[in-house]
Order: sequence, then C-alpha cells, then structure tokens
Amino acid sequence: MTNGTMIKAMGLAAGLALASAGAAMAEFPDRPITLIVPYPAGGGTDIVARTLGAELERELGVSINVVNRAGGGGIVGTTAIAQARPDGYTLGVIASDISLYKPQDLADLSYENLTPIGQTNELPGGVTVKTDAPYADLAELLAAIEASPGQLSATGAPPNANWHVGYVGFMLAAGADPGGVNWVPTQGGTAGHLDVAAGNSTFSTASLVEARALIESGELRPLALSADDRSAAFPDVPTMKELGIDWSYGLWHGVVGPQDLPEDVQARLLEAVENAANSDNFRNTLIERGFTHLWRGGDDFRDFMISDMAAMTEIFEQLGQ
Amino acid sequence: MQIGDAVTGLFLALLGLLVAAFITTFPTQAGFFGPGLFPGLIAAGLVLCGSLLLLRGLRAGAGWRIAVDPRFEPGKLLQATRLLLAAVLSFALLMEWVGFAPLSFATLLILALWLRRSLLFSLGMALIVTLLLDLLFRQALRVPLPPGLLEGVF
Amino acid sequence: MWENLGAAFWLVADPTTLLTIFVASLFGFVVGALPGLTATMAVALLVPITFLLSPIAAIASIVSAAAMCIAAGDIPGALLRMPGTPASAAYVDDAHALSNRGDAGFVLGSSAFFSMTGGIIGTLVLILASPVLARFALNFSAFEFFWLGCLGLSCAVFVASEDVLKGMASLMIGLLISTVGMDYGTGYPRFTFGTYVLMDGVSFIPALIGMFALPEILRSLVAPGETHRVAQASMREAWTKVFAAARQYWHVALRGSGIGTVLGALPGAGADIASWISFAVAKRFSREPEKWGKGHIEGVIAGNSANNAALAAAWIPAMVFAIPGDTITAIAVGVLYLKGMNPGPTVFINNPDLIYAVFIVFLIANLLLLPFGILSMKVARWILRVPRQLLMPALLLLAVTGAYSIDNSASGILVMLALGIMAYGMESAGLPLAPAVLGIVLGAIVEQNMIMALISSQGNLLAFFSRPISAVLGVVTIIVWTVPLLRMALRQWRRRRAASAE
Repeated sequence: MTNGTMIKAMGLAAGLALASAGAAMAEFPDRPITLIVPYPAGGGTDIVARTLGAELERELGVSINVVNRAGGGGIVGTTAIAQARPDGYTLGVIASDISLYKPQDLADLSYENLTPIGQTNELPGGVTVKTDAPYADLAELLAAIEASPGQLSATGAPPNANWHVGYVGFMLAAGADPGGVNWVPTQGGTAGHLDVAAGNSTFSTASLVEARALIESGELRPLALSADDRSAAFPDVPTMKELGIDWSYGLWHGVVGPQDLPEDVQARLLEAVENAANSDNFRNTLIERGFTHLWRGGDDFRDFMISDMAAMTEIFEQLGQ
Repeated sequence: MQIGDAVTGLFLALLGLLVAAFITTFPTQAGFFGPGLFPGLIAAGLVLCGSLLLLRGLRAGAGWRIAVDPRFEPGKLLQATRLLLAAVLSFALLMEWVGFAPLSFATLLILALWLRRSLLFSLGMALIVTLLLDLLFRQALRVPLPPGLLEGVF
Repeated sequence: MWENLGAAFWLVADPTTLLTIFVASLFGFVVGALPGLTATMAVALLVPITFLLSPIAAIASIVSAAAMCIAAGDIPGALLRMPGTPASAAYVDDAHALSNRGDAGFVLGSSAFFSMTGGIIGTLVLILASPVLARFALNFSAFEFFWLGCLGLSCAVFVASEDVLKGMASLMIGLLISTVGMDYGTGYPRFTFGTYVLMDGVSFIPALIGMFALPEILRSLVAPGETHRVAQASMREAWTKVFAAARQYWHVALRGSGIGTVLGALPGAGADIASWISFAVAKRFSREPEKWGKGHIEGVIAGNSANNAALAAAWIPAMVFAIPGDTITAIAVGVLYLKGMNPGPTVFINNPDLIYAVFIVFLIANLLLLPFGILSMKVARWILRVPRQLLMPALLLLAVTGAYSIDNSASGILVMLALGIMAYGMESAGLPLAPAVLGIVLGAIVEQNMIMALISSQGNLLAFFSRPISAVLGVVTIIVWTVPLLRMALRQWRRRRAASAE
C-alpha cells in the first residue's frame, strides 16, 4: 500500500465513522446487538440466550451476537454488561446468581448496576431421593434428619451457590437445622442427582427437570417441588407449600442492560424482548427443556430482583450466625 | 536456556515451601479437608521432588549451571524474547482501546521487518493475515474481537 | 428392528440431512483447525441453526461438527506444535516431530483414519450396549471417580520420558496450577490474587497454547538453520504408511477405542482424559518405547482412536439418562429435548426409528473423517510450503486470537503468556511438559471428588474402599503406584550392594 492510498483509506474510515455516528441518532437499532452470557457455551443460560437471540433478531431486524464471557461464577460477564456503553447495543442474559454476590461480599454487583428489561423463565428446585430410599414422603425425610443429625447428606450445587441456598432456605422454613445434614458439593444439578443415584448422598435439592430421565427410568423419586404451583411436567409431585413448608426457590433468567439506558431504547427493547419471550419458538424450547415459562417486564422484573436479593440476604445472615 | 538440576530442585522446593506457607492463610472451618488440603499435598510433593533433584544435581556436579542454549546467538535470542513479550503484552493490555486489527497489523509488520523481509512484502503480509484473521474469527465465527480505533469502520 | 432400520435409513437419506452433515463437517473442520476454538464452541454456534432443521438433521449437525472438530484439532498440533484440544496435547510432540521430518501427511492421515476407527467402534458400542453401560456408569460416585483420577495421574510416570523424578516434579507443577480458583468444598478463592478472572481456574486452551506454541515460536524466530523447508512425502507415500501402521498397530487402535469407549461412557471423564490414558497405556506396553517422543506414530494412533471413541460413547449416558458426559453432549441433550426425542430409557421404545437414524448419522459422520483427512493433508502441504520462520508472526497472531476467543477476554492472553514463560523455563530445566498438562487436566477431577468423598464420608478413609467398584479401583491404584517405586528402590539397593562388593 502506498502513502497515497493509505491516506485515502483513512479518509474513508473517518467518513464511515461519521456516517455511523449520524445513523445512531436515527432509529434504534441500526447495527448488530451483542448479547453477553456470563457463563460458558452450552449451559442453561447459554441455551436461553441463544434461543431468545434468534427470536430477537426477527423482532429487531438486526443480528444478535451471543457472546460468552464466563468466569468468576458469572461475575466477570455481569460486570462487563454493567460497564458497557448504555446505548442498547450491549445487553446480557443473567441468572439468579446476581442476587448472591452482594449478600456474600463476593462483588459489589447487583440489580442496582443494571437496567432490567425482562425475566423470561424460572426453574424450580425440589427434593429428590433414590427410589428405594426408606422415606415415603418429605415428612419422613425431615423426621429422619431430625432423628440422626450429621448422618444424612444432601447435594446439588457448590457451597453457597443456587441449589445450596435453596436447600438452606428449605431447611429453615421446615424448622430444621441446615447444619444437621452434610452438604456434599457438586458441580451442577445433574452431578448432584447422579450422586444420589449412585447411592452416595441421601437427597438432592436441584431441579426435578435435571432429574427427569432418571426419575422416568426409576432411579430417583421426587418428594416435593419448591415452587408456588405444581409443575406440568410432574403433576403428581406436591409443592412444599402444600406440605406446610412456606418456601419456594428456583433459578431464573432474564435480559438486562447496563444502567441508564435511554428511555426510548428501553421501551423499544422491552417491546421486542416481550414479543420474543412470548413467541411460540422460545416458549416451546423452554417447556421442552423443562423451564417454567414466565414473563416479568421492566419494573416488575426489578421488584422481583429486589425481593429475591432480600431473601438471599436473610439466608446468608441466618447461615452466618 | 539450560538450567542445572540443582537450580531447578532448589526452586521447586522453595515453591513448595511458599505454597505451604500461603495455605496457612486459608480458612479451616470445614475440618481438615478445607481448601488447603489438596494444595498442601502438592506442596509436600514439590518439596520432595525438589529436594531429590537438588541432591541429584549436587552429586552430579555442574548442577548450578545456567547457560544459554549454544545453538542460538544470545543477542538475537534476547531481542526475539523482548519482541515476543512486547507483542503479547500489548495485545493483553491495549487491545480494548487500540483494537485487534491495528495491533495485529503493527505486530506482523514489525516481526516481518525484524526477520529482514522487504518493506513491501512485510506490509502485504501484515495486511493479508490481519484481514484473514478478522474475516475468520470476527465475521464468520462471531468472536467479538475489539474494534478499538476502527470502531464503526467495518 | 429391521423395519425400524429401514425407516431410519430413509430419514437419513433425505438430501437436506446429507447436506447438513457435509456442511456441519466442513464447519467443524475449520473451527477445529483454528487453535482456541473448541468443539463445544462449534456446537454452541450451531444451536440457533438447529431450530430450523428437522430432528435428524439437527442432531446430525451436532454429531458431525463435533467429530470433525476433535479430529481437526490435530492439524495445528502436528504442523505448528499448537494442540487444538487437550486431547491432542498428549501426542503433540510425536506428531510435530514426524511432520518436521516430512511426514505431516502420514500424521494427518493416521489421525483421520484412526479417529474414524475409534469413532465407529464407539458408535457400535453405543448401538449395542447403551442401556447396560449406562446402568453400570450410574454406579460411579465421587469415590470411584477419585480413584479413576489417581489412576490417570499414575500415567504421568509413563508419559514422562526416562526421567521419572522430573516427570513427577512436572506433574506437581500441573496439579498446583489446577488448584487455582474457587475451592470445591467452601468456595474460597485460592491463588487468585484478588481477581475474578482466575476464580473459575486457569483456562485449558490458553494454557495449552502458551505452553506449547510460545516457546516454539521463540525458538523458530531465532533458529538460524530452520529457514529451509522440509520436503514432504507424497500423498501416496503417506497413505501407504498409514495402512502399514494400521496393519502393525491394529491392537493399539483397538485398545485405544476400548479405553475411549469406557471412559467416554462415564459422565465426567471425557475425551481428553481418554486420549491421555490411552497414550500412556500404549507407551507402557509398547514394544519400542525408546522411539516415543521423537516422532513415533503409535501414540498418535492410541490418542486418536481413544478420543473419538469417547466422543461417541459420551452419548450413552446422555441418551439413556439425560446425563451429559461432556459439554458437547450437554448441548445435545438440550437439542434432543427440543426436538421431542426426550432422552431416557424409553427413547429406544418410543422413537426407535429416530434413534436408529441418529446411529446411522454417527456412522456417516465418522466415515466422513477420512475424506476430510485428505483435505487436511492438502491444507498441510500448502501451509508447510511457507518457510518456517516466516510462518511465526502469523502463528503468534493465531495464538493470541485463540487465547482471546475462549472467554472473549484479554485475560486469556495473559494466561497464555504466563504459562508460556513457565513452559520455557521447564523445558530449559529439562522438565517434560506432558505430565504438567496431565496434572492440569486431571487435577480438578481428583481434588473435587476427593473433597466430595471426604465430606460425604465425614473423613472416614475406609469409605474409599467400602463400595465394590471403588475398592477394586483403589487396590489397582495402590498397586500401580507402589510397584514401580518398590522396584526402583530394589534396583538402587542392589546397585549399592554391588558397588560395595567390588
């Protein structure tokens, strides 16, 4: 390349930059949007993001790039969303972990650093035992825990992560001591179910959905669901609330942007994400995966995250004592 | 480079001791199988292997030798090491602001010139490889390589 | 069964399905050949596209992309000493030495041929024994996986060259690296120096690129004598050698496929470990162990047949119990659900023709490895025509881009640099790299399961022997670890006695 063409190229570059700056003022969106997933490719959050991204592309008419920024239990990627330029071209799909960082002093990162756009789904936890376990129902399991403290073990997640928090909440709500059962740390819900099926741990508090095939094949038996309503996939499994334990807990996913998104961008995104989240394709994918489909837009989503973090804070305070 | 066994052994044993000292700062609330257990076992292994190597190096003599590989010119090796370090560090630290394509072009150009290629060839190679990488990683496989200075250009 | 097979055949014979298989293979080939881009990433990129495809085409795209991706991971390993996957790191030195000698075609041809062999054997087991093997795999808990991990670590002795002490030292370094990040028992961040980036540990791929490629780039930049090109053997010669190797080492390929199938069927072990263990076992029982590491094909055969067999076998627990054995099948399980082929023991009864169609797809995808192997040999000849020194700037850029792509973050580049410097130091000190990589790959599995087992048994060490499979594995592990040590001590003692007698 000679000097002359170099200067020409630079002039062209500057012109293009100006042109795109002018266009940004016209109509949002006019260029590809990046959707950050703070977890590795192939996980639950990733599937939600990629399914939603495909629908969102149709809604907004621009391409959506799903980008995995895993690390630090989601902190790295979520920080990247929070620190992105608030122009609506960088969004993210986050999971319920967002409510766990601040109560544990892991990172100064919570819903306050983000603009909520909409929650798309939920994945309720449960209590699952091995099929030939001597507990007919949840009450018998709780009685056995009471009768022999320190003898039984539960599993489903790394310590202080999602299903462990669900376990602590369940024990406290049932009036039992969370320390009376050994928590066996596993990487992920499926690994937890597997540990129960292998005859090692007594019960798992991970989602029933992750155990579906093991339940159908008669390896595991569900005792309860930690949700407000029964699940369509497991109509015979009672909720904890029905059994007199006031507790429900589940994983959830939602779309967020960085703080201070302009109002018009926010409105456009809310509309598009709502349509995408309620599309048949997205709904079917979620239901097939076993997630509970659910939509909470904008302020509803913010209110939900506030109450979720309050519940987590309370659990960690109880644990700390 | 060629490093003698005694040096290696001493280094590994010290590393083991350092790890052993460091894990005493780890919390121990989970009984003896806390976060320090596995690193502790490894530290013991490092001290053991390190001391054995140290002993072997001392016995064999010449264990303390540190020498430059005789196959290479020392000056050229130092230069290449510096260039490589500078290139990788500039990617790690500056890519977000400068962007992938400009850095890639500059790195390729400098390295090719250092390898005594003609200016025309170096420019061409730098441009073609940069464009190819951008096409493959950023455009086809959607890796979000930062645009940096070229934001909005392509 | 036969009418289902017939129906399945017509499902696969659909032109769009066949086209999908071909395009996905090509895609997997490109992704696999680029360092830093993994098979998981290739499959994740395919997810939105699977929505548009028929159930069979959707599964076919995943299967073919993954199989091709893993096999193509050998290309940068052989040509540039930059292993594309942890699995190909096992035999990267042999592969690279062979291609430096002018046998790149032989390596890549063997890689394709034995990947195909392993893949097909794994698939046959998947077809014939899924329910039985899956049921067996369910018996594996933390105790069994702990022993299995220890058994894997003992391979370090075999993969290290003659110097056992240096091999052990290198293994310790690898294990130490694997402890970086959040602890499994308490979530306490270890050796992270206050950054979130290291909380999930040191990423494999940037680490591998740093350890193998960076020192190689440095050496090649300054090496005065290596500017000339190595004349490469012709395509015909290469294939003659591949078939000669197949005749001579068929038992290695068979054993590798067996190891791969068993380890692949266990959720949590996976293709990387299978490749390493198969490599180590092959070296242990090799008739010509002195040739290893200097360009010997046996290790390439052992590794390739094992990792592709494991890839197919990972579908066994995924199909029968919806338990993904690796990240690829984790995505695949999602797609199975999405397409209404809910995994579970009943899938064989409810959707037999679909399942048979999936099996046929597996066979086709693996057979396609061979023609794509020819493609990779063509690409190799083209790349190797460039003078080696001149390839280095581009290789450096490829390394940086690859390290960045894994988490889309500059931290990957820093990890690559740090491990590159470490590897350079290790090579200077004569410490072999392979045991360190083994430590990085296996460390997490050993530690995580050890902590899990200790917590659930409340520190009772007898519990490590109280389950039947665990007891067997434990005894085997202890024998494998103590016998060589005893033998070494005995030899030392004899030598000393002989010396004092003189």
